[in-house]
Amino acid sequence: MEGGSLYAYALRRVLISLPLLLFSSMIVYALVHFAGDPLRDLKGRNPPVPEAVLDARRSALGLDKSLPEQYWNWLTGIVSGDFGPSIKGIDIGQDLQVRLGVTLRMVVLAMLIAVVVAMLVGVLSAVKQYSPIDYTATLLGFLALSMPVFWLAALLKEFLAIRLNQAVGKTIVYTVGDRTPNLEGSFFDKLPNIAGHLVLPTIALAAVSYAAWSRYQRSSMLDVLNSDFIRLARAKGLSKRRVLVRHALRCALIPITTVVALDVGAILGGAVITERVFAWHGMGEMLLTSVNDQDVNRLLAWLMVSAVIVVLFNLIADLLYAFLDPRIRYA
Amino acid sequence: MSARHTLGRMLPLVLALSLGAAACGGSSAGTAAPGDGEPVKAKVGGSITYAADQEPTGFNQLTSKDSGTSVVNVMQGVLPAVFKTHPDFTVQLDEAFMDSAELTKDDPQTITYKIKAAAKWSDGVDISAKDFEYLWKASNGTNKKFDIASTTGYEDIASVTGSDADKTVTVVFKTKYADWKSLFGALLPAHYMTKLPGGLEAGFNTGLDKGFPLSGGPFKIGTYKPTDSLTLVRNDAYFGPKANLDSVVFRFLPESTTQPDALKNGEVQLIYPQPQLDLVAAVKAIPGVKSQTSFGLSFEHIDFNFKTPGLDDPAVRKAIAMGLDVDSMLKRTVAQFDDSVKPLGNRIYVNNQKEYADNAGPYGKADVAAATKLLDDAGYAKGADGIYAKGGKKLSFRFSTTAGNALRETQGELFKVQMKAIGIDIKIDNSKAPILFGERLPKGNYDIADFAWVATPFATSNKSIYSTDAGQNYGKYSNPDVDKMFVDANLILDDGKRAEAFNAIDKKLWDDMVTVPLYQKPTFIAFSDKYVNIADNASSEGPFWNVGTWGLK
Repeated sequence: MEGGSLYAYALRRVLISLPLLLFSSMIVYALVHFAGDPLRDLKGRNPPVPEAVLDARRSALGLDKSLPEQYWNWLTGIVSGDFGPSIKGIDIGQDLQVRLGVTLRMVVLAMLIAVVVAMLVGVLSAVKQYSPIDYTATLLGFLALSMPVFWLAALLKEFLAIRLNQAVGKTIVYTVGDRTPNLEGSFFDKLPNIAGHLVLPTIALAAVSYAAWSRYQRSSMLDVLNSDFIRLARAKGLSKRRVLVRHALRCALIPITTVVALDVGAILGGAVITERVFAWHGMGEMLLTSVNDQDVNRLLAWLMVSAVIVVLFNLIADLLYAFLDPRIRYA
Repeated sequence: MSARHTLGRMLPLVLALSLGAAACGGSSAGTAAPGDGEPVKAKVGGSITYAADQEPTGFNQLTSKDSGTSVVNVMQGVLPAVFKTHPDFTVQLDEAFMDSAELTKDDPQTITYKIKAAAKWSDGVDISAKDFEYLWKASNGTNKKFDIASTTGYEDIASVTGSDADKTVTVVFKTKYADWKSLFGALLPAHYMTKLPGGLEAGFNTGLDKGFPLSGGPFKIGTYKPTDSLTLVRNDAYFGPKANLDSVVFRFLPESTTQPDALKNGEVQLIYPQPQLDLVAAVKAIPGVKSQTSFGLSFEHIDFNFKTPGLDDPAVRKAIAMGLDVDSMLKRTVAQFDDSVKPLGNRIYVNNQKEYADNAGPYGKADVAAATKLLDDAGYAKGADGIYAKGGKKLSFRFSTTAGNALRETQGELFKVQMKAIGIDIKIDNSKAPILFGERLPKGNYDIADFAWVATPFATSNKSIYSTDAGQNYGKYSNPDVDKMFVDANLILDDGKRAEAFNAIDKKLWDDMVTVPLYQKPTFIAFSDKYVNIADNASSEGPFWNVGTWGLK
């Protein structure tokens, strides 16, 4: 693949995504607008909130303007990096920054573990098809796939945190949050605490992703192993290891690359249930709370960031395609 | 008083230990709550982590933006208040802060407040009449630029004057305000507030969005990490008894199902979730944890829409109330985790208020014969399907409550069965809380609704529910006599006579069958038994009303 055509392709993909982002923001803005009155909470209070206060709040939030006007103000603001006012008075930019960091911390390790284990197990299952290893891997995969995250979380909390901590006589694995509040000391002092908070959500998130990915990897590897060029490679007398690693695995990685890239993009927008059950204040929680509060600017900030991440990871998936399969060219 | 969705999150508390209404569980029973007695002696030092279900939206609880529970809980130990509502719902002077606050003249109503000489903000400036004056001016509604949560009471004040080096405050009312003890419940330092950037109004409205460096209470705000936690630290400059604990950490855990495990694992030491059967059972099984179920000011009720054809007939409303079996409804719902809950026979006062009188009479006792007789006498006739009708119009109504709230959904199903027994057809038509409270109730888009009201000890707040065209009179009930009775009751400054007047209003509301109160909602607090003096309190004060006395054994 030539560098020039790659850049042109990437640029074209980014440009195509812009109207998509614009359109989706319009739809979401309108949906939230018609979902109800964002000031309903204030209006239901007793003693009643003075009408002048409601008017002022309406004006400050731009709710006294028409829907197109409100949307236009948001759109022009976002271009200059202003996410607009939040109904709950939250600094949306800062909120996004913090939450994205939290979600990243939770997701990166889990995804790494899931990818490595899924690839190993998937390949092994394919190579040893219908062996006890394959059956065991299949059973574990479907078990993880069918187990709801909240249930897995409950089991992990009870057996891998509470009982373990009781057995060792101190808290080494935690059930909520990404660190103990007011944690002090050097990075290495904090590390056990941070790692102790990471254990359960990482396992929960990795288990779910691993389950799906290992099945993809197995299936894809089986397809490749049964293809003509692998038979040819074997017929030419190449070693088993060389056939597997240099020829089969490289091709079998193409479908899983797409799936992983798309999944990671979506998860970075918030592993909603995992964040919720382990009380991590990430992007998933931002989505839930902004919908609940009808905080349209905060919801749109989430949408924009999540959409950009998804577009970016789709692009990465496409580019990795070319890297893994030299036959692919971008025109 | 407010619908459950707003102040519902306040989870009002009752320290019912002294009244015998509380049920304590956990590893040991009920020694933790000091109630209105003397606090137990505690060690000085240590910290407690509270699982807060919401993050504060700012730090000025007087603004409409920040008047929610999340802010009130944090500022309870930070801002001085003239009166505090105690767990038994009595309103008592904060004697650490005030020498006295008394009605010194009936006409014009005049209150004289005497502030303790030692009372100072943490920066050394006296807490004075200037702070009272600042609060009044911000809250009286004349300057529309203040984002004030409520003008109630402050709008009736004519003047606030300082004397004796501003340690005596004389407040003169232009209109009598019987619940004057509800005023000046969270004073702000005028000397600090008026110098905030952006000017007087902006300083008040948004100046405390990021924090509040001063304190007039046992604690001050230490660190605040948005989305993660907020820490209160001891205010060593506090003029009253010093706090026992070094710090109180509010850890933001919005998902209540995470709280029992966090408590069990020692990651938090205090939780205050909405009680649910499985959650209460899980917490009670944790060793080393004390728990307490209480019944507060929040109460569940059946609300009638007077604009619905059929329900505009008092005979129909009374028949419904007659046929209702409140006791059975309790046994199948809330009594399952605390059987001390009782039917509520008053919509102004709750069971454990001293002013309470059971005015329910024959209603809520499943008297099917009396209910059907009422309908027969009113000219309704039972059809072949067993449903009463008049003029070809069947008695068929929608029952609406918050979808997803298992307890209320069960109440709806029970209500439906009970009404069928008296020949009234009920169709369940529930909505999610935001829709029910934000749209359907205010727009009158319901026939019969089941939700909670959250009262304060100040009965005049009921005016906005039962007066003609009042903001929370969702059912559009109107009786000029009741309107006048509310106005008159608010002018009675004698507590005993005022209670009589409000009970007379409640009887009138029963006569008109405006609503059917069902029961007080339970609240649930649980904490590590290493701590003392933590107690449930049902008023808007919340669980932090006595945070200064909390400590380790």
